[in-house]
Amino acid sequence: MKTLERRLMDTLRYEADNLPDEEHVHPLTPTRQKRPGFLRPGLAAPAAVVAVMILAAPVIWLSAQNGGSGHVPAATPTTPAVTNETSQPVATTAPNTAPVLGDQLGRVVDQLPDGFDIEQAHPVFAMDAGVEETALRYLETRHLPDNVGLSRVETQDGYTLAQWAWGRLLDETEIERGESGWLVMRSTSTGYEVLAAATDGIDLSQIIFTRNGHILGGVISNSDQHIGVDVLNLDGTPVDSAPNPEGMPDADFLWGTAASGTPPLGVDVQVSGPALFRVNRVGGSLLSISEVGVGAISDADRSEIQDNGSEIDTRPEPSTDAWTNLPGGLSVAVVEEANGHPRIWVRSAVQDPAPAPSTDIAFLPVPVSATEIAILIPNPEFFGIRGVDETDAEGLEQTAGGAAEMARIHWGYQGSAVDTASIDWESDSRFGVAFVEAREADIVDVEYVTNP
Amino acid sequence: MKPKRAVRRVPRVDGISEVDTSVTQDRFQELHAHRDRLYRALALALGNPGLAADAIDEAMVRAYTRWDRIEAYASPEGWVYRVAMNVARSALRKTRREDLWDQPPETTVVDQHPDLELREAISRLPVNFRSVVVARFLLDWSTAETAEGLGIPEGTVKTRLKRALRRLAKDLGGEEE
Repeated sequence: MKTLERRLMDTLRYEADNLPDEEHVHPLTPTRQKRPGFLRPGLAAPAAVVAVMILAAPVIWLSAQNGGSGHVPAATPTTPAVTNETSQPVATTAPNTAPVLGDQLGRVVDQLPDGFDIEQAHPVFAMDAGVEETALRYLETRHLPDNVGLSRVETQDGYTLAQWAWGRLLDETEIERGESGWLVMRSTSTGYEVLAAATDGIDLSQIIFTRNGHILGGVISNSDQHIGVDVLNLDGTPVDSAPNPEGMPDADFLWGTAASGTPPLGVDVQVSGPALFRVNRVGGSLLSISEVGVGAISDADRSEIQDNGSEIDTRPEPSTDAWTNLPGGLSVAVVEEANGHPRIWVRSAVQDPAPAPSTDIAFLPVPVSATEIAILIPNPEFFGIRGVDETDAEGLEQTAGGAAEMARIHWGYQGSAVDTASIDWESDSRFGVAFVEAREADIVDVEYVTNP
Repeated sequence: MKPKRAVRRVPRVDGISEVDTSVTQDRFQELHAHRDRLYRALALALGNPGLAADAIDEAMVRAYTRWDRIEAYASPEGWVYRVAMNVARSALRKTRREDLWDQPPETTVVDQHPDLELREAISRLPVNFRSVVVARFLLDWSTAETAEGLGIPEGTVKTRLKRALRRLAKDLGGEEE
């Protein structure tokens, strides 16, 4: 009689050999059509891409060796003078409308916060005007350089994409590279509204919106350009919980009310109602715009999470202002002592290439008899808990650490993550229940030692 | 104080000739030769061949674009599998998955299937457990390789494997979980 192990080998090999041909399985992928706002377009087209990359290896390799930029002859940008822009814009105000963008809508949405749902998005700007006029006026209200223009407008899946860019021709051969990005727009009965703005190279996918209105996570950028983050009421004023409601001193514009610094940049702001989440690259003036409206997590998302088998505790998330941002985007906190059972929450704001954080919450109860709890977060190099000073130039991956290292969180001591993956908490014998909030229950293991 | 704009010059192309691209390509193609094997394992672990194909390819693209670092890893294959798993999980979380394990085998296949009872038991395993089982029994990875490939500690691999086998045995009428 075959052992279970032998049966497993035979069965798995049989199943593997009888998988459908790959050319027939891609259409089964349930992403792109259903909910464009939640899709990961980076998954698209890969076989062809890999094949092309192999063929184009020398070019790509050389490009990668040179920082990944394909714009070799470009010059270093300089700070634009917002009120004194006289040179010729690179972008045109007669945008190209030919439909050649592919899944650009998906790519743009992929860079927006994880909870952003394009179908339910709250507009950040609206105007009774045509698409170009609305887009340009929006960029003006966000104080982008005067020479910003639209280089392309295209409609995809019922949404209008407008590519914005600014920069200057220094001479016939050199371009000062400014910033560029996209606006996701939608027509209304009388005009257009801007649903989201994105900046090329600014990744907001690590930002999450919690059920109780926290905006948490890390802003990632492909450059070390200074970044300002604002969480604003719909009238443009900072929300009550903004850490720096006055913004940056001596600035011409209000910015950096929620966070300011070089990326990756941690964000933790609570909002009580609809708000605007805005991120600017800043260098003497506002250089770019990424922006979405913030709303509540939908019931549909929670249903989806539950359908995927995650263990969801339906108790309301405790309100707390005790979140602590740690280097590299990991935030932890011991929160309220509800019913005599304090909760430990761990939230990981991950960095590429781990999946984006989500709003699903796993509660892992720990026995009252436990004397030690160690929360293990595997693969910290991808969880960004090694410290921002160790990030590489792209700000995406940590350079130190290894897959075998763990973030070990003991109850018993309190401190902060420095340059190691250790976070300890102060002893509190009253602790009887611990909870871990993470993206998925299965990527965080909790070990505990029971009282002998 | 207003921050200064960081100067970030586009790198010059000096030294290009020093890069031996042929060796690099060869090494990447060695990795790419494992693609089908990784795809099949991921498809079974996830229960979604389409998503697995996309995710493996995405991981391959990522590996290629940062190959100068990835090739130095002990197991680039494991790295690709882990990234693909993460990518797929992210997508799975956002979609309603169609699990191949939930689909009955084709009629013509049923007659040939070596172990439909076990197939049914595997279908009931959580993805966590199934991932470990697939890594160990299909990819034939060691505990360390499985840990690397799934991005979890070796102790967790052992625990999950033990629990998975116990659960399978229970479903098959063996020992209790």
